[in-house]
Amino acid sequence: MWSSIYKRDLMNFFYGSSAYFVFAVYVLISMILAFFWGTYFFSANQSMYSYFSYQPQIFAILIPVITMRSWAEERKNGTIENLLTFPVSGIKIVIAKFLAVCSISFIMLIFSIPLLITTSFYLDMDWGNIISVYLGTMFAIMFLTSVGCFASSLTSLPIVAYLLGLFFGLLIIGFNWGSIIISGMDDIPFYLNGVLDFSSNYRDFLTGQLNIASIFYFISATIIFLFFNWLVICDRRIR
Amino acid sequence: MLEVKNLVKKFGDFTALDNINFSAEVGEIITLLGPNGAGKSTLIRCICGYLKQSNGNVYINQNTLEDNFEKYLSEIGYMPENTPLYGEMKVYEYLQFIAGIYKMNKDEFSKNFQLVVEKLEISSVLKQKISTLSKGYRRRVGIAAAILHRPAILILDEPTEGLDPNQKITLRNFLIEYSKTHLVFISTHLLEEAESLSSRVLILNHGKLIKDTTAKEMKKEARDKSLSELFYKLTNPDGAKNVE
Repeated sequence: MWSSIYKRDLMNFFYGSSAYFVFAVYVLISMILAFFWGTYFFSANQSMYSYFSYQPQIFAILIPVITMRSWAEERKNGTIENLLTFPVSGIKIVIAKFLAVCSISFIMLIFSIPLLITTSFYLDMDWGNIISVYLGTMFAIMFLTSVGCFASSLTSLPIVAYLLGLFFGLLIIGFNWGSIIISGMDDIPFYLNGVLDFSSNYRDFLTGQLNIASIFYFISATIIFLFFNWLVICDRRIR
Repeated sequence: MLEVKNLVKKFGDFTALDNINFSAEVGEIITLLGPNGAGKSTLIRCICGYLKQSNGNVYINQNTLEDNFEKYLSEIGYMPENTPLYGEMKVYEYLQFIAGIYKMNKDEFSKNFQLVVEKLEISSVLKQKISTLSKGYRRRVGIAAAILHRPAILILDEPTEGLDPNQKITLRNFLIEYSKTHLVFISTHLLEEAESLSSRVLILNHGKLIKDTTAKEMKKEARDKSLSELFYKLTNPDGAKNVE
């Protein structure tokens, strides 16, 4: 059953001390960037803009730490042979591993709640925007997790998996791929410019402008990378 | 029960398995013999669905993997070469994980768990982390995981590699007992393995099935020669001529 794989992967992260280390680093970097870089106390943060505007960059660095183990370690230890001969379909295994990493990242997001509660004592919060920004960050986590899992599936060395995941993640959030792709084309409507841009789509959530296009962007991108992950892992198999 | 028909596996231009055909029934122990690189592990991986064959098919109770992979794979208990296990888990946790994979209910798990723990003598290491186990115990835990769901076909790749003589005897006795009601399929390059299990022997060489016989018949055929010499003759026909 795929839920056993999900549970094992989730628990695997907590067997050593790496989980607590990653959580501590996450909290530290998030606070430093929000308070010092984002001038949290000097900005109007009814939607915690200063905190969440740096979350994609932080997760792009930290998610590969988690995903690097998901497939690369299975390959390295040979347990992938056990895994792929269990009566569980390849796509379910890919999803179980993806959900395990997503769950760990969502736990990290919970660490922002004390700040949210504290802020709510001092400011009149824009709760609609808060929901939107949490939703956007969850979508961003899902996207970056699928990218990290795909990177991990390409190698049997966890450190290479980390570097690949980091590289792909930074490439995705650092460039406006829509504008790069259409730059050489004629007669392309201008609005397509931001369609493939991670930052523009994330900014929509950040500013509370929840729209279907941005939701579709994150969901479809996640599915595409999970599909690539499945192709790499199951190319040798029938299913 | 198990039927392998015209099985071919190619890696690029290299043919690892060349038109393999055989069938096997419950109650048999099949020893897959062959020198290193003969294609033993490839054949096992094709049967277990880890590798997709280039041609031909494998049937378990008339079902192929494509027909119903869940049913097909549930019939198999497989321990790969070198016994890859999750080292960070405790033995008990690992067996629980396996029970979850095969959707075993609590009663079924506790019944089968008692049985495998007793048969494979692993009760003393149940609370130990797998990474701290000796090679012998690791192997036994791997086999326990493979048989926990009582598969119709037990497939073990080089199961006695690295075990001490006592552990080998314990394992052989277990396999003989298990084969009374199931099909046991093991791969090895040790001739004494086939002999001691009194099993049916399939000899693979350069990806071809060159002999389908029994350990007894092999002994007869060897006459005054040792089994090793016969094996050498079969797998190195040119070399054998030179020796003679």
